[in-house]
Amino acid sequence: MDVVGNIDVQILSAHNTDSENNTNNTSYEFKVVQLLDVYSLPTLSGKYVRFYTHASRENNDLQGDQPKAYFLRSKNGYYVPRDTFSMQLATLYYHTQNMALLDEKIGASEVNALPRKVVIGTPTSQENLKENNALYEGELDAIIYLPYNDESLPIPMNAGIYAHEYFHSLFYKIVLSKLNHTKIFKEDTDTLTTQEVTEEKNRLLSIRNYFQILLKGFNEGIADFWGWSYTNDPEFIRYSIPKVGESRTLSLKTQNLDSPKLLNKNELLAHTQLKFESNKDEEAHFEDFAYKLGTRVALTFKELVPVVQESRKISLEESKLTIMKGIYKLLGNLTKELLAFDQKFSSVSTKDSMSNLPSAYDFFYTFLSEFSMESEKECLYFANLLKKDGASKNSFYCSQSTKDKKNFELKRLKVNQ
Amino acid sequence: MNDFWSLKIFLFIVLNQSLLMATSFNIFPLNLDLRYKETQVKEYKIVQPLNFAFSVTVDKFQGLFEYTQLETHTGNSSLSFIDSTKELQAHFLYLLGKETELLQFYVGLGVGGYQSEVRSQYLGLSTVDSSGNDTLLSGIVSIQGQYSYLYYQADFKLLMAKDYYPQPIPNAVFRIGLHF
Repeated sequence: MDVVGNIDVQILSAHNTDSENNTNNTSYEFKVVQLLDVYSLPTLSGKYVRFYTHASRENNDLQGDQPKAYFLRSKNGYYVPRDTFSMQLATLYYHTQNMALLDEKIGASEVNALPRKVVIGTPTSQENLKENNALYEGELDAIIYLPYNDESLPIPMNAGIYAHEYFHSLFYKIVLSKLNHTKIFKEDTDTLTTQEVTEEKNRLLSIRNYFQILLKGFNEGIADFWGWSYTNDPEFIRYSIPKVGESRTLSLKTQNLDSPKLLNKNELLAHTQLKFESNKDEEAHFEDFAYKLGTRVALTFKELVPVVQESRKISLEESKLTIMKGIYKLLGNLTKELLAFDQKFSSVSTKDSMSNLPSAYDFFYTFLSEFSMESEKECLYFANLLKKDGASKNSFYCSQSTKDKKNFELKRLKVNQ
Repeated sequence: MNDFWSLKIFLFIVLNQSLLMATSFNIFPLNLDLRYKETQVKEYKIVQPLNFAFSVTVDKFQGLFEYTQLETHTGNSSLSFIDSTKELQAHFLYLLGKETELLQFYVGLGVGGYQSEVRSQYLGLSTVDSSGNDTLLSGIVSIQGQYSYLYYQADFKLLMAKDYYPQPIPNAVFRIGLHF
């Protein structure tokens, strides 16, 4: 008889021994958790996940077999995975369930349809993406785990990497899928072929590259923040991919910073205008640079957590949730702003558009439009951040909101040249 | 009264001796046990449990008692699993036909129990969990033969248990043992 419903299963999961103090003490341990709404234990299908193996894409539809998980029913009444693969399925079910419940808490439950699709045990033919990696595929709406051949914690069992990939599904659905058909992302530059338009074409390409870096930076950065939030570990990737090293570590010290700092518009533009020998080199450079921006974005949100926690006298988890809610609103507003930019972009020359490109710092202004700063300390955190935008000629100060005395407002002070 | 007891003891010895004379034993130290097993990605592989057995034959009836142990290792140097299952089975067989001593055909049914244990290990952490006793049923067709003190046997079984996959598991065991 099939086992269904809420089932107690032993998994290996991240456990932070000192989460309230926000220290890097995460470790993995075997623990018994409850998998909710399981329809079939042998296939681990349920309300939250549907697994695919031997998967393939057919007309943008995901096809594949349901894998099988083997469990032992222990004398204590819980189920124990009998092998690595079954452990991976059980662990992924647990993390998906937690992420879906998190979606509900931040108000994003309508974004992702359940059950989530997860592909496992399927090799790919892509040369640069064959193993030891995980990715979110937007068109298939699936998280894909490539075969893991390393000697560390298998990627499907890395809680932080799962949360990271899960966030990509939110970003794709709220932001990227809405921008797919806009001029700045999709227009074919080959239609501009004459000598006269070469400059225009280069500008358009620069703008496109600029947005690719900016959006990938935010997508990867917030995904890393999601990974950190779920595990409380600034180095959650290293358990599975030790070679990633310090470049993705979410700590100010490791990133050689005294306080959070983003990359400004000129830094980003300088990179979009570099010339490369091949498209492959160009892509690799943009990717590296986007990850660099991403780490800064993640670090900025991460450092905000203790500030909010302290100023509002709430728990670490509540503080994370407050910021995640803000980020969820940011994604919607970001999309609106980018669509508005695209509209304007059609009516003005690219030269004018270049000067109006939004920066990473501008995205934080957008974040603030929906985030109530409940103390001067929170406001000063953003004032200190935004004044680091070298492209801006503004200085900032904090004052009590005139509309709501409980909140603070960030005001710009124009600096005369 | 004494005569009655003497007669009873006499009959007991005579009957038991004749039963003993009709009884033979086989011990099988060498067994090749091959089973089909379904993998997690819906492929099939053959596994080889460790197998020890002995049998007792009385006239056309045979009891085959078998102990098997299967251990499967998965994982890497950081995270590993050892899944082991121990089975104890008794098969009751009936001699269907006997061409010569060299070729005999038996059919029968088996019943037994099994217990599983999973040892999970991640870096320095380790946990061991075991199941309770579960029931195992089997159907068996056996081809056997005897040559002097040598006994050989090929068993073809279908094993059924609640968490065995596929259901039933096809199983072949080739044995060489001593007959006495």
